[in-house]
Amino acid sequence: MSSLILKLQFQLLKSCNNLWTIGQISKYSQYSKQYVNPVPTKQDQQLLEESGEIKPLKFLPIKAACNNENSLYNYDPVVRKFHNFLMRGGNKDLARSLLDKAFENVKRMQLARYHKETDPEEKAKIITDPLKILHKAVENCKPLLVLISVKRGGAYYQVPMPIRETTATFYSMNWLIEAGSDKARTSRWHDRMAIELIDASENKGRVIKRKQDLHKQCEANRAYAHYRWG
Amino acid sequence: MPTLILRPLKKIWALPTQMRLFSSEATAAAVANNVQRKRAVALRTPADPLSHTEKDIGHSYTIPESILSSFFSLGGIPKTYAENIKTFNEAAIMIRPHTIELLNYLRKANYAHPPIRYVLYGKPGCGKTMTITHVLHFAHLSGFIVAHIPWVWNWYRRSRIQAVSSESKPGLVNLPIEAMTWLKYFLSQNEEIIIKSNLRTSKEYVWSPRETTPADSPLIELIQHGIGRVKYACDVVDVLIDELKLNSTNNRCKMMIVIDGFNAFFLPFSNLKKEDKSRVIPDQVTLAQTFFKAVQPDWCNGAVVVTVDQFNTRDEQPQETPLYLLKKRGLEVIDPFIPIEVPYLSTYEFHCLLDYYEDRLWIQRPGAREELEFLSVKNPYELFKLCAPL
Repeated sequence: MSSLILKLQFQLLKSCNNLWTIGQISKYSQYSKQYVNPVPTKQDQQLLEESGEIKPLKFLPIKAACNNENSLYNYDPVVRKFHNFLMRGGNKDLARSLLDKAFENVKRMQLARYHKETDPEEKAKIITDPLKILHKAVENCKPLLVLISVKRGGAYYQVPMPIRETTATFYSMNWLIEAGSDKARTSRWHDRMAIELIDASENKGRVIKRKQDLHKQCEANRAYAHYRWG
Repeated sequence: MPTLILRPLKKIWALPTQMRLFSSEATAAAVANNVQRKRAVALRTPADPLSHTEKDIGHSYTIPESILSSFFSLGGIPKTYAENIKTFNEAAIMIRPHTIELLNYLRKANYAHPPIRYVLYGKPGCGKTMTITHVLHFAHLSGFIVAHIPWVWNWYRRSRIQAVSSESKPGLVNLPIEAMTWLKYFLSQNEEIIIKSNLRTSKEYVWSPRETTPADSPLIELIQHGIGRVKYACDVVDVLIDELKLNSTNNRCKMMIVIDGFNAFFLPFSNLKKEDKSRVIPDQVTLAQTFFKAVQPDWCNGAVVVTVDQFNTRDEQPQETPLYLLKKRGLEVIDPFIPIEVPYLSTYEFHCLLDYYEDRLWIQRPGAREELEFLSVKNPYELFKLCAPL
């Protein structure tokens, strides 16, 4: 009898778990709705103070900042997001060290080019800052449309759909990471990644090609664009 | 460009969310704030190591291209430094107080007496090997013959190298290929000086019934024999050190013995194996015995500079002091010596080094010096690694 009750309990729990995964019922937040998001960096706080937006925030309860949101010298929101996409199995240390090494390689490669260049005008054009290169690469790889499969009249159609900024960033960063992983066994991820980042920042290379291919496919499938509605 | 994906359209779709923070414009503005101060300019000394004094501390000096392609052509400089020469577009070394101290000793020593032994010690990453590089440049310019071992543990590190029993010295083992490469390296550094001072062997050496080196033959021939006949390379190194000691005692040349990671000779283990697969202890190797002989004070007109390193122990919490690292056996070989500490950077040196990095574009976004100082504890190599992704 007791085993039956246990079984029932287990099934009940299982069904509850399924509910979470469906995504229709979200988990409750730790914070009530009046809590606002923290602003971790000093520069952003200063901007808020200058514009006067900080006034209402001063009297509201604020959520605790995430431990990877800080005001350290090497903090950057894009880099933080990149770390999170790069992380596998919760190993953030590894993700950080890999991207740091990729940055070092980018800098070494760009500085070698910088010192080799003799024409001062061309020299000024070379970007040697790895952070700027990452920003440029991520910006250049963002797609405008993606194909989403939609069922209409018993058949699935690949329908081009516009995406949000967040989704575009997700695509861009993950394509970059995949391109870095697509390498010979003998070479390292950070070596490959440095090349991919520099290429993408100059609007060429494999990731940019992938984006353009997707855009072409969207263009070809524009006849299905109206399946977006209804 | 297809009409569907024109850039301006993107603005309609892009919704103003919290992702605004992530756009490159906002971060670019933040970065621009950081960069408002002008880029620092590194302090430099045009002079060569012969004339470096206390006034030059904190400045950087450049090793000329000619020295790099001749004296350091077969290595002798650390690997990371060799990489940085490409990145920084020059081979610069910062002049530090302990180096000046050592250079002053070397300048003022009485060379009629037996060689003074200097032992460099310090925490990992403080710059012992870079100090050695600086001293090597000094020794080369002031006409020393330099017998330099870049890193002792490299002889014992690889288990693939088979140690061969020595024929001339029973109970010891030879590393023929290692000895041959060392001879090549020695020749590349000192060929000019040896030819110029016309050094010759003092007696006849018989290698085998057919091969001999007659008395009064040039030292270069002896070295060439060691390189050509790998079997005898270890014996040639042994004989060569003897001959050089004799020549410098007779005031025909000056010699400096420079050994990096000297305490590896006194470890109780190594990765080498004999023919019968038994392990070799470092001081069973003939090369080790040769260099023990080289650092003995039974010759004059020279100097001995060695470093001791924490990497060459397996203790869990090693100290960096020479007394601890050399142990009893090491002290028997090298005592008495002058210990020279290689310390962390001073605050002035720390700022000089960061100025140099900003000058050579190694730091792209200047600032945050206090944070770097705290994180690196003013350890130069740690600082270099922290600045790598910046």
